[in-house]
Amino acid sequence: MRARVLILLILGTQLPFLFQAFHIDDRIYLRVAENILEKPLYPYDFRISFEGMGAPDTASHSHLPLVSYYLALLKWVTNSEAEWVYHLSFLGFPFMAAWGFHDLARRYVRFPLAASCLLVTAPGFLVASHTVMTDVPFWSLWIVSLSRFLRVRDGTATGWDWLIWGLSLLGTCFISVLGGGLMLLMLVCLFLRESGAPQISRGKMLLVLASPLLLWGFWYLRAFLHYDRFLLLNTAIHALGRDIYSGSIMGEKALSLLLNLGGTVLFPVALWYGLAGRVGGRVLAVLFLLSFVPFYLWWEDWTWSQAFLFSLFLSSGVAVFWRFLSGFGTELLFKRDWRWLPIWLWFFGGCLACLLMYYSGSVRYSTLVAGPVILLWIASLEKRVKGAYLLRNLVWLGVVLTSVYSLTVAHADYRFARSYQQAAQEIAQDYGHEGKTLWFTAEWGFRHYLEREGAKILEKTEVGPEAGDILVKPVLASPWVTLYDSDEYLDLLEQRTARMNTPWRLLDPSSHAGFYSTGWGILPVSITGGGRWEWFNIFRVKKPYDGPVPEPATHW
Amino acid sequence: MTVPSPSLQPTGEQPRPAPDRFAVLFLGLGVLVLHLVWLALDEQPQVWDMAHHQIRGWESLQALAAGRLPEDVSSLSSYYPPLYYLQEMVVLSLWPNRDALVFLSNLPGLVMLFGGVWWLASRCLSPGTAPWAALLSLCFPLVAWTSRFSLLDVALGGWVMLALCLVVKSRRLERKGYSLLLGLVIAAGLLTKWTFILFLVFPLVWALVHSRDRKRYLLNLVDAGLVAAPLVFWWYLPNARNLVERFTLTMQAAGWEQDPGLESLLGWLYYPRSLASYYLFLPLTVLFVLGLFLKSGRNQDRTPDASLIRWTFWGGLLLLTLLEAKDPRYVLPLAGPLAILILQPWDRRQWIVRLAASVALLQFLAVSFPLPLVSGKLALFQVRDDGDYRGAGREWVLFASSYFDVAGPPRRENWRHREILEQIPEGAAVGFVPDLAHFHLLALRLQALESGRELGVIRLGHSARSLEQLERVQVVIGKTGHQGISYLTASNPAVYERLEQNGWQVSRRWSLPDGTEALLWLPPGPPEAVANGPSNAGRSLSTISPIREEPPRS
Repeated sequence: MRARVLILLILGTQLPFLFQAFHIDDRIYLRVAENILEKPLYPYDFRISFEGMGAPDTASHSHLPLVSYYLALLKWVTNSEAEWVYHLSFLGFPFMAAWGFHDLARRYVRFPLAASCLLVTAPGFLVASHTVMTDVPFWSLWIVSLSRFLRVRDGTATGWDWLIWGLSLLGTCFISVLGGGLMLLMLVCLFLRESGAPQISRGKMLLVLASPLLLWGFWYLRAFLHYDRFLLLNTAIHALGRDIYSGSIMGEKALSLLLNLGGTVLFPVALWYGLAGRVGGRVLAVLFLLSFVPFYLWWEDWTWSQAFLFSLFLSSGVAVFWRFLSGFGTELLFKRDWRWLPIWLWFFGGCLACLLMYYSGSVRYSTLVAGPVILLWIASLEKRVKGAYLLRNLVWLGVVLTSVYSLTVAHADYRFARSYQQAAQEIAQDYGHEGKTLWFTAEWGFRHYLEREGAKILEKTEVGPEAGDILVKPVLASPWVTLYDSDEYLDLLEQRTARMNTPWRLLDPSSHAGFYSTGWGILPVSITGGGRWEWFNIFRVKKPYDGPVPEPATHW
Repeated sequence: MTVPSPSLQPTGEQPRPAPDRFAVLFLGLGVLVLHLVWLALDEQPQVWDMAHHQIRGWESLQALAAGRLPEDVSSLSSYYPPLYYLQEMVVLSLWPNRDALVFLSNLPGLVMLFGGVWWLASRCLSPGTAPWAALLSLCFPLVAWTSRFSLLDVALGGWVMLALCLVVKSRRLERKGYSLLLGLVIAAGLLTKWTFILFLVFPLVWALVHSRDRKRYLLNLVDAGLVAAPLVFWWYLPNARNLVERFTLTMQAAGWEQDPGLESLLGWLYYPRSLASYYLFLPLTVLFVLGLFLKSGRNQDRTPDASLIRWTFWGGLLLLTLLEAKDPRYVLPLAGPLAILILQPWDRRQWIVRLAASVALLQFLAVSFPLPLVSGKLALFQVRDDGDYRGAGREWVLFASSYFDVAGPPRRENWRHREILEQIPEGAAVGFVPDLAHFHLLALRLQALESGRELGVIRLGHSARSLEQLERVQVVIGKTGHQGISYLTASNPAVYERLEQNGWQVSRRWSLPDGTEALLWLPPGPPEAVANGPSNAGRSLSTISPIREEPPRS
């Protein structure tokens, strides 16, 4: 019965989005996968062109290639480029996450099924699970690995648990170096345990824990020999070039983290009734009301509904953070109860990573800590609500509210992705048959589908378009300025508006929405104020570029 | 069985018999009736702020009639909150008459003040004294004068008294229901005037200090705030930016008006002096000061409610003193606590209580109607030829039957607004030069609204820049002789000079009550050109940028 509920919920929230267009950075992992089919041992050995700048190889890309290997395998097996093939193949990850989280949640709460349901329907998780990016595979392997680790640590593990733990830990670390955080967490939990816990063989566990280090050592040494540089150094240079530790960016990331915690893990109102007691509820209400004030004193271009979302998310996020801090203080520091240590480390470590490891805020980053937030929410409800009937209903009400909310957000993301697919196809159809080259300056799914239609990317310092060629520039999808961007070289033919039939926005400066990056807005999701969203400027090239050509712009 | 509190049963003194209560109730009603009589007898145009507040009431009525009141509430007024205007709107929708408007709009405030003082006084004074305190609060001269104008202060005083009563009734916010009710009253007070909060800070701090269950107090206070906040935010948030800007302006105005600052003794004495000068006059001031001395130290009434009233009074005075902008009527919400504090020391000497009430009643009559032998003004440090009302910040008034030329006994004065309005063609943009208490642009605009007309009118002469604004108007209203407050009318002579230079002609003249003449100036050219809209440089009204209304004074 329990498994059936979970399976139905996952299928119900995944299958309607099976045909979702490739979106945001899906394209990058698909491109790496293509290269893997050509050079299986060197997945990143191809020239990168990103945001109008190039580099001779893609090796210093921030992620390790496990997901791309998986995509390459799918492509090799199916020889298909259809979206549904990949989305269907990625369906295993939500199941994996739900399975692992159920096992994990049993240790902490009386409603592990509800906890799993909440995880797979958390807005951040649900939206990410409709992509082929690394996020959901990473979280899923993380959760499975942690759940098996705790079994091993507690001496209740079977041989399968050892195997699953080791493989999932390796998998996590072969998707992202952030897997090192999981290793650290496990290391701390291995040595800090409650008194009276069963004795275990730490040596064997340390061996498993060290295995990712061997993998990384091998990977980066091999890359060093091949590319003649330490790859992560260039990654760091790229990140530091964006001034990621400046006060304003750290502040932006911290604010974004709080908003994401409040707005993209559970339905915010559920967070209120789950986390806030008599005093906390009032503090939240006061904070909620006070959060409106800046919009009327200083920030002018926010609509009432956007200000409302900001206030709701912020107060809810503060509640989450405060409960973790106070719980950490009372349970661990005063009562010396180590049971929740893995969850606290997971939460605080994840938050720290959001602040230190990225150059912007994003729901994709903060959803790493969705698991701890869900466990805390249910545990908090269990502590406060004594009546079993009311408790069960409140927990499941949270599941229902969160599911409805998440599906709304996921639908907006579906429409968002689809709008680029449609636009690319229509523009190619209207302008691609004139015997002239179709150029573009864009990223995300728009780039993927334009390239699929035979269009060419025009980099910042590239000279290529001839008279009569067409250049397409979106406003939102990471455009850049090229040598041709002046009236001397371009004639504006048309402005075409992207179609969107929902008021919800995930990435839109005019709505302050920045689900994927705070570069576009601080809110994780927002409601449009009626401002222009995405549109495409379509130009005809008047003449070939005849000015001075600067040095090519590169990422490092 | 309820044990009566000691303060309700003073030793050696039996509770006063009921007839006292009826007598005071009757006298209180009499005060209200006298206000009505005064309003019926007085024919002066509304003074600056009073006209402004009435205009807002009319505009609220227009918004209601147009069915756009809910969305317009936050924009009806950008400086003063809208509750008083909504009260005016209700009155105007029922009875569109100026006297009824003033009386009925102030009536809730007066009733709350009277009832609140009575109830609160009955907690710390004997039953024989408490009603007299209530009567006293209505009879203070400035309370009496203000009650006959469209000003926010009486309503504010009423809300403050009600809030104090609820602080007490809620047992210092231990009772949830009364605390939530307090939230509603806080909202009403803040939606009347933001200074409301100044009068509640000290009582709430006092209640916190003396609370038996501080956690419950804080929770209930937050609940009250949560009840109030959405209502208050409805108006304050959309106007927040403007309020901050205008607050700065008002503080600057304190400089122009030469309000004494905190660096001078006058600044610290401003409100005690104002209370003595415009609320008490000499006899009651002496009684109050004597009472303070007699009941200071160990003799002080230490019952909780008496303590609350003292904190409210002295705390409110302190916070008002810290504000740069000052005006005697700002302190009106402390009239209630003041009335109780005056009578408290004499609670066991009923003859003094009755004497004080009689003096107050006599003063009330003297400042309301022309009585023989008691008219005029007796003041220390009196400012002579005080056209700029600077005396309000300096004089120590011992007695005065009027408050400058703004308030006092009723007068039948015709300042000609109706006749002037009849001469102004429909749609003409009007420039108004003088700025006297009863002859100013807002009074003309109010007259127009009352006549069912929309009139675009701007002030000329408030600065040198107003000469440029001459091009925007087709009719100018001027006046001979005294023009008004000197620093606000410094450029008036230049305006008149420019009118003559540009060939404007005085079309009509009317004699005014101050012995001067009102003048209606028209631009050169045939009069029908003005009637048809503007001949002035061939510009039509639609091309003239929107006529801004003169902002109200502080």
